[in-house]
Amino acid sequence: MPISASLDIGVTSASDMMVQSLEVEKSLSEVVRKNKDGGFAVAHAFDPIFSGSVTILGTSGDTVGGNLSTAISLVSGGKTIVTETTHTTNQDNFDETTVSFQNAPSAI
Amino acid sequence: MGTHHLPVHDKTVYHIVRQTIPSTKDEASSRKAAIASADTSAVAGAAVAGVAIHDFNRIIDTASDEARTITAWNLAETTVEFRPDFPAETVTTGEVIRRMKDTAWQCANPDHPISYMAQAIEAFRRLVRSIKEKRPLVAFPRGRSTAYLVMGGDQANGRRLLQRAGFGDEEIEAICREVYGR
Repeated sequence: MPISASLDIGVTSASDMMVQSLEVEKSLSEVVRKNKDGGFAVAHAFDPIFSGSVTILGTSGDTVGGNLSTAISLVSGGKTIVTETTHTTNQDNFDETTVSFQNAPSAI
Repeated sequence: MGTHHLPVHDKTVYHIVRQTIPSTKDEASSRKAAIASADTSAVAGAAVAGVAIHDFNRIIDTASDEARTITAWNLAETTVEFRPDFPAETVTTGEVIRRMKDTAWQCANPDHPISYMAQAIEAFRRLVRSIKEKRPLVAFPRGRSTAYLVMGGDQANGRRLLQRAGFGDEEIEAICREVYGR
């Protein structure tokens, strides 16, 4: 593999946000997770797996770009799959995004 | 008010490289610690291997007993194949230095270890620049929610978010002095 010809560094600007309603459930059972191609791969049995959801409130008009990425960074480490996102614009102009995710913090 | 489900696409699989760094009392020490973190060097290496970096965040958490910094690099989840493809050779110190400075040579020899080393240094420089340029978030927990405000950012936005989180007027004034300096 040759070196990457163009370094792909896409750091976004920061925006105010609030993380609320974080719900996380831990399991130690063998799970199926998605790989990069959208297929499925089996995680190691007894690796801790977390399933959860979190609601993100933003004020910057972002829909899911920076805020979603930031929020996922805040609530988890390791491999994280976002399984569903729902976006709402509130009457008071807060952008609210609810994210469901699976997280395998020790998966390599 | 509208609600819509967003499509799940390939960027929804993340690999988060996250670290908690204790004893970062102010923004300057937080920034220095993030730059010095082994994670920053490791992510620079991953970038050279072709792993896309989606984002970086630095969070200053002053609510815990000891002020701390959380750094989080948001990377693409992917695989990289390493297959050595360069001839064994012996070169002088001067030749190593020359090749390290010669980008044309590196482009012509993309599989050579010297090209990797030079590119890794360039990647590290860019990551350090990103750390310096991107404003950190400051965390303020309230109940089950946590407000993250951009240091030196838009105070009106921050106030709205703090009010929504349920902070009182005096608390909001104290937070604004800390985050916006006024």
